[in-house]
Amino acid sequence: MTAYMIGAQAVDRSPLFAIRNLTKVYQNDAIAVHALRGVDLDLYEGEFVVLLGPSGSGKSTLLNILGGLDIPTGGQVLYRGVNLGDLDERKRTAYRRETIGYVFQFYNLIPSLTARENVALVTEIVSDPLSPEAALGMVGLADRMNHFPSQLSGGEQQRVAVARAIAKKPAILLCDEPTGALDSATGIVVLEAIQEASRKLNTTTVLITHNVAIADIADRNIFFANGNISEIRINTHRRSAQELSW
Amino acid sequence: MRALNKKMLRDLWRMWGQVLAIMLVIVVGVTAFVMALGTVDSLDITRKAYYQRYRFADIFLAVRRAPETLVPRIAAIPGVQQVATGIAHNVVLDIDGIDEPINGLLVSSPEFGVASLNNLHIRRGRMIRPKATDEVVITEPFAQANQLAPGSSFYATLKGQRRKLYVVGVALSPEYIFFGVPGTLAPDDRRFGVLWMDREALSHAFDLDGAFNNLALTLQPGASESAVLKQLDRLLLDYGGVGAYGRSDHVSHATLSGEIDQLRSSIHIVAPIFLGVIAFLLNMLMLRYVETERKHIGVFKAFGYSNIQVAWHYGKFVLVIVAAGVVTGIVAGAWLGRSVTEIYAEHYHFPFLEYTLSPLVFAEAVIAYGVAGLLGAISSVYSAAKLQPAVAMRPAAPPVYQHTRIERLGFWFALDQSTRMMLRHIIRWPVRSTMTLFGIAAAIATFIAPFGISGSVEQMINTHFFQAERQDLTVSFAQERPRSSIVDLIAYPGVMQAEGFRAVLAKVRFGVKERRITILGQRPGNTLTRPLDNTGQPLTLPDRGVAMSKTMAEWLGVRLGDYVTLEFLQGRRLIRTVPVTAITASYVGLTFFTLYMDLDNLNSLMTEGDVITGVHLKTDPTQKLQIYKELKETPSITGVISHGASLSTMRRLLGETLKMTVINGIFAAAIIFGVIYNNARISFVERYNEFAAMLMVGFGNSEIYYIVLGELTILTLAAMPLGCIGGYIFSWVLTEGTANEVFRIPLHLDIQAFGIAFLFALCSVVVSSIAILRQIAQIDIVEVLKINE
Repeated sequence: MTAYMIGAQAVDRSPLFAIRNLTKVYQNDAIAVHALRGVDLDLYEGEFVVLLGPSGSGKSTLLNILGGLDIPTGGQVLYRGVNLGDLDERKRTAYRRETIGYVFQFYNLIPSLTARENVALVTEIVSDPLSPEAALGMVGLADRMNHFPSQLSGGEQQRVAVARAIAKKPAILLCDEPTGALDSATGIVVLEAIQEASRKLNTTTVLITHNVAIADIADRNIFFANGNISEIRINTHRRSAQELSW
Repeated sequence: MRALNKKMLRDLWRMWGQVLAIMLVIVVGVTAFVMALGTVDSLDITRKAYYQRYRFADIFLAVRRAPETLVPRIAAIPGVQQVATGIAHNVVLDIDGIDEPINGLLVSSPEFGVASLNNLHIRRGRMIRPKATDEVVITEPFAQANQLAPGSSFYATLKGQRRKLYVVGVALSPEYIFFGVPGTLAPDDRRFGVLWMDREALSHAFDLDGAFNNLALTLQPGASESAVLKQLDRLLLDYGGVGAYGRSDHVSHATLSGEIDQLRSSIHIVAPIFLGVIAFLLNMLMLRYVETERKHIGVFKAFGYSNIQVAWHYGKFVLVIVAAGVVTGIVAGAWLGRSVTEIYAEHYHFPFLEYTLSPLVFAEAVIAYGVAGLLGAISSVYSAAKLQPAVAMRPAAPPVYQHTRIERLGFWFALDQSTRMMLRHIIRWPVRSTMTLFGIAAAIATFIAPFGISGSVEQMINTHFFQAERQDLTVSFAQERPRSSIVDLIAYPGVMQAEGFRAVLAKVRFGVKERRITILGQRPGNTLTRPLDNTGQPLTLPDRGVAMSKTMAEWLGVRLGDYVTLEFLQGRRLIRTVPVTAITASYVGLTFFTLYMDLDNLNSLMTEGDVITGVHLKTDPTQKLQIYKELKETPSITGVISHGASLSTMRRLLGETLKMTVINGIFAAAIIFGVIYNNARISFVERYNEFAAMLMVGFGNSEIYYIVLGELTILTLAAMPLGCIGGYIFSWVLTEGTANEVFRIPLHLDIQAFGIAFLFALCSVVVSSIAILRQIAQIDIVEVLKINE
């Protein structure tokens, strides 16, 4: 049992993710790149975490491992007591399908599918999803559902991506620089959508950013440097996305 | 519809140009396959039904003269079901408006009202009235070629008597579907026809009352053909039997079977080419498609789509293309098959057509193209399934370029950066470069191959008509005549040179192998007709032994100096052992089965005096008409072959082959262009960003064009030798694969074909690269840089 502060409240419960001595090495021909060097971290249910740090510090690698996209080289990532490193291909696919919602920097929508169909792409393969319409409504795009990505602005495309990620009501929402390609006003709208959805669905949210201004919307800020955590800050005054500016 | 299926359909629509092109190749391939197999099966079945309904015999035999009283003894041979005797005689016809003498085979009509053999199917007019002495029924092809119909008449010399004959009917017979004058390369409907006449009238004309010179019989089911042949030969030995033979040695049957087999084997040669092209094109399409879909694949997997679901998504893409092509092809093939079969049935003069299209053909098409599609798509679908989601999410890492071995060579430093980029790119993607290389090579091979066929026919014609047989006319006698009769012919106006020959039917035996052949006796000093040696030079016949074709010698296993046994099927039917003293060239089927001998030697072996059976003539072209007139009126002559006419028949045949060459050439050209253009396009799309970056730092469009063009040129040049070797092999397969005993020509591939293929491949490179040039001009640097941000 670990006692921890989430927001202003002290909670006392077991973590959703327990990360122990996590390492990841990319072997590229003769060169070994150590992306993670023994990370220890616990993440809790409903928590909003922002990962910060320079490029190559290991943030995205951690996110990919949490999302079941990548496999650790060493150490453990326990999700509700199950070590992700032990999952075979089939189980890892099932884990991604039922548990993870992803938002990428460059939206990654399928250009040949409308907003609704992009969301349906996910809702069709999971049990008990939101309807695509409801998910798009949640990000404020109910009236743009039948538009193709090319007919949407960058911010709108990213909100479709958020809708796609939350439509399955994921336990974990992983966002890799979701505002990286957007201007500040548009970025704030997208962050609002993420914040709102994660609150409504009680989703654990892990968000990577280079933008320190965004850190204020999180319960915790975790700083990465050189493949490891350099600092963890607890945010005592969480701000809503609307209050941000950069 | 599920979102993923919608995506697939929209992707198909987006890439409609390429998809349609590939689909069309499939449609053409399947249509041709279904059509051709349907045609071949139908022809086979129709032929069988034709034989059955018109009671085509199983065994045939020509004799000099045998009494009708022999029939019960023939019928008593174990295994014989039914016997039909008749009379057949070669005659020379004189048709109004045609200068040349026409060769006719006068045959007694099958007995009326009795269950007979080799029955006629009357197309027009009627059967001959019993005992009518001047009525004939003629074959349809002959009637058509010479515009004869019931009511027409012409003259024939029957045993020295010039008679006017009236055509009362036009008919078809299973016995004479294909039939030509012995000694000619191809049937010629204009100059040869079969005529049926009343049996009694014929027997009076040829002094064969109560006798026959022609025999046909059917076998009981399960009877041994060879046993019956042996007994029959023994029984008719004393009556001048020249050896009974079964259907496989029957000229018409063998030719027809040969044609049907040829059609069938050409399907099996062409089909794999189509399949290979399909696999190749699908492979190109899918490699590029999956490459551009990297990120999407990552997204699918990140959201929990399994590897199998991803593979199925891309597999389905291929499946839709293949299925649409195959279904369209099957429908088109089934629809066209009937009309094509009708054309063939018309060509073969079948009296009816039984069209059939087995569902098995559809199944074969589905399986073959399914497998080709699978082969084409498997590597890219597999790579899509295996792509790690985390890897897929990142833009593809810059390809790992390395210093290659050739860079250690001195000239590398002299190369500019563009040339280095070009070379490194080829080396960096060895599999794709090799694939492209093979693709181009295969296309070049396909382009070259048909030249082999037309080249071989051309070569064969040249050899036969201008080297081996240089006479203008070949005249044959009803029976052996003294050699001195040459003098009579030389006396004809316009005859410049005459050389006598003797043709004898015989069997040649060596060890356990045996075959019916013709022995041609002629003087070693002959200049009009002479056998050729293996280098194509005229061969002086040795005064002893026989000269045998290379093919025949190989088939028998005979080497120069070995002794073979000759069993003469004519005359006293003597059996002689002679050495093989020379090997002759085999340039066409006809020459394979001809053994040459010094005429003196042959005559002394046969002990029948100094005789000949025909004469080759060299004539004065200005006196052609007089010679024709004389020949038509000479009673002893039963056949006249004009070599000019044979040559034009062969030229017509060559023309048809050339047409095929052109069609094949267009097809191969499309493949070459498709392969080269596709490769150029992929190479361009793949390096779009690289090229944009080059433009940004100040390179011009021409430098980029240089890279694209250079890469294609290198690959094409490298593919050339392989393509030439492939083309040679492919030509060989085409000529050998479609060869049969009646029609076989040795491969002759002109060096020109390689040159044309080479030029064409280079033209394709230039045209493809010009198409890319347009796209280079449209590179949007700003857009590329934005994406790279």
